Amino acid sequence: MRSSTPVFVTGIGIISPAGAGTAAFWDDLCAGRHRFTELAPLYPGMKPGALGGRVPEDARKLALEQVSARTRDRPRSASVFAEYAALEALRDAGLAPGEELLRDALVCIGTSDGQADALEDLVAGRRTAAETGGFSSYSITDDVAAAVGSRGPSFTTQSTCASANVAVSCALEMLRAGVADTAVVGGCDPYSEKNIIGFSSLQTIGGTRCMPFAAGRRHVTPSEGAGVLVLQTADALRPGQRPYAEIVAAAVTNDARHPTAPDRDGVAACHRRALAEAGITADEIDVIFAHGTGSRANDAVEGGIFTESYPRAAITAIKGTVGHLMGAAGAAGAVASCLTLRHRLVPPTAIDAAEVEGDVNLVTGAPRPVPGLRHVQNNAFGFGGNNAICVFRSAS
Amino acid sequence: MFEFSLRQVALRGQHPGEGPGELADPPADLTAVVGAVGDQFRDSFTRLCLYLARTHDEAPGQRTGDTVVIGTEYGNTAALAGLQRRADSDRMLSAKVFPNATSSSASAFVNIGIGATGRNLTLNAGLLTPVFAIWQALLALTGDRSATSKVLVGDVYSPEALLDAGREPHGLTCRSGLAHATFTTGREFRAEFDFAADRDEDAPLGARVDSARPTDRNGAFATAAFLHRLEELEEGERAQLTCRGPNARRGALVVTRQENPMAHPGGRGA
Repeated sequence: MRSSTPVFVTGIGIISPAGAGTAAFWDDLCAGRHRFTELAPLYPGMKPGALGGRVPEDARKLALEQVSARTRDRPRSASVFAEYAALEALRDAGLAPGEELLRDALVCIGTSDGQADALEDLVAGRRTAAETGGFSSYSITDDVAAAVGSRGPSFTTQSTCASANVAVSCALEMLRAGVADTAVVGGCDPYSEKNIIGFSSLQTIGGTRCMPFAAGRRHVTPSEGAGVLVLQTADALRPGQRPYAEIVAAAVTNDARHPTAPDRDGVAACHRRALAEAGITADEIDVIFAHGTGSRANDAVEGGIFTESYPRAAITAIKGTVGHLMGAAGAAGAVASCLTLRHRLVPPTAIDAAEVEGDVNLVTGAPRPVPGLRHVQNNAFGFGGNNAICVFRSAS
Repeated sequence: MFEFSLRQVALRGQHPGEGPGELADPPADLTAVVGAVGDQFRDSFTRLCLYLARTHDEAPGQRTGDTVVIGTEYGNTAALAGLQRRADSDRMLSAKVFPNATSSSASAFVNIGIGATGRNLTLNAGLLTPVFAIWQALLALTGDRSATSKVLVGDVYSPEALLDAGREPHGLTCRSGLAHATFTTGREFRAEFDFAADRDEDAPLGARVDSARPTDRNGAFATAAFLHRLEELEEGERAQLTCRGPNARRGALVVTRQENPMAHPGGRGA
């Protein structure tokens, strides 16, 4: 069933708390600049002062101007973000909505909270079902498919914070199987009241900003946005096209241990599977975009694996800069991975070098040049024991 | 093209004509199978998924590399809405609510419940969900990923899900139900998929087995009917599951029986 057809990333797009577009995203990553704000308490037991990352109003306005008329008329944040990122990725790949290469393209978007604003308004009695435009998670992918002009296969994946990487895995397999030769794939999640309430009940959010791999780390900083990649098989590449990367692995596993806590053995198993799929060893991984949520448990598990198995890889975690994009976290990491391969530069984790816990080879301070960069790994894990790891290889 | 064997098929769902929503007649041994711990937090979708995964198959004695694919339009919506409502009135919201109220909580608890560490995902392709869920389940059997792949397809409609589905009913009935099947590596069947856009603009939307007209929005019923049909096929015979959605989306699955182990000594059951 599987073919050896190489699959390349030819376009990227993103909207995040850094703003609209890959340029704003890369600028903030390289500067280690965060734009977190205090979230309003959402229920009687929620403490004030919790930090979050929101897509800035000017970026949201810009996105609304570019998305489809259907979405503009009845905007749901997930669709606005995902459509914007998809359209930016198309332009970046040199494609236009509706052109022949896209008519049968696969569209797959991963999300955890889906059309959260629509469901939450319905539950709270703020809007009727008709007024919301619907909350089925499939509607996000359907909206993206309409925006890019595809009538090909389309579906949404939901694997909590690993959703986007799972979407990439699904798309990669379908492209390799010959179902399509082009895919528009990624992840999105909007600000979700339910999500903030949930994290608050677990006491994982608060007034300390996300500080991945810092000894004094304390809180996760939830945020929102979307990231999208255009994938093309080697046969679908146009003459002169310059891909960002080849995707050589997208491994998906489950811990099957605990509803929320990560399991070291399960996470390590996903790392081994990713390497096996890529056909490389841990020593060949040059850079890892860690899941790096800034929680005690996640960073301890990941940091232990990095120290033990990936001592030479440069590690970085972007959630200290743009926050945790939830179901889109893997997509943000994928976009950052592609930009790292393009610029041969690893953006820093937004903590001081003196704060790093243990022996993790964490990039801090200035961006770190990596001249001979070949393999970049992108981790995404989530509640429910969801693990998904992608490996990108330099296309040059 | 995939090759596979089919170990079991099961369906739990509302009967035709039953009022929409929760199952009026849940399995009598539901609590015995899935327990009652956490019932104040988990919704009927999670409970029924876990029940089917634990009941209608051999319970593994140890952790496995099995794959679990859940195909659903509305999944754990009831738990998501419940968390939001609970927060309005409960100052000390329990930390046990949230893990049961994510969009893939059912998947998490099924994986934990059967010790499945392989590939897993929850997917939503609207009216085409059955075909995509089966594709992903069969994919997992290729290479060295999983020797067993379990698929759950369907919905237990919450009031919010019924409101949402009612916006675009497509002439289909919303009946709660879940199908569960276990695929294994083998050569009993050959599956061929076709995701080309629909050329028949007038074809009724929904899932149909061979030429039967779609009636249910919930893909569980067509999925179970299709997979039961496979069990009855003789060598060389085939069956087709076709799912159609708005905007000319179409997914078709044709399965041919290649071998019948019951007809050959040394095969299945020998």
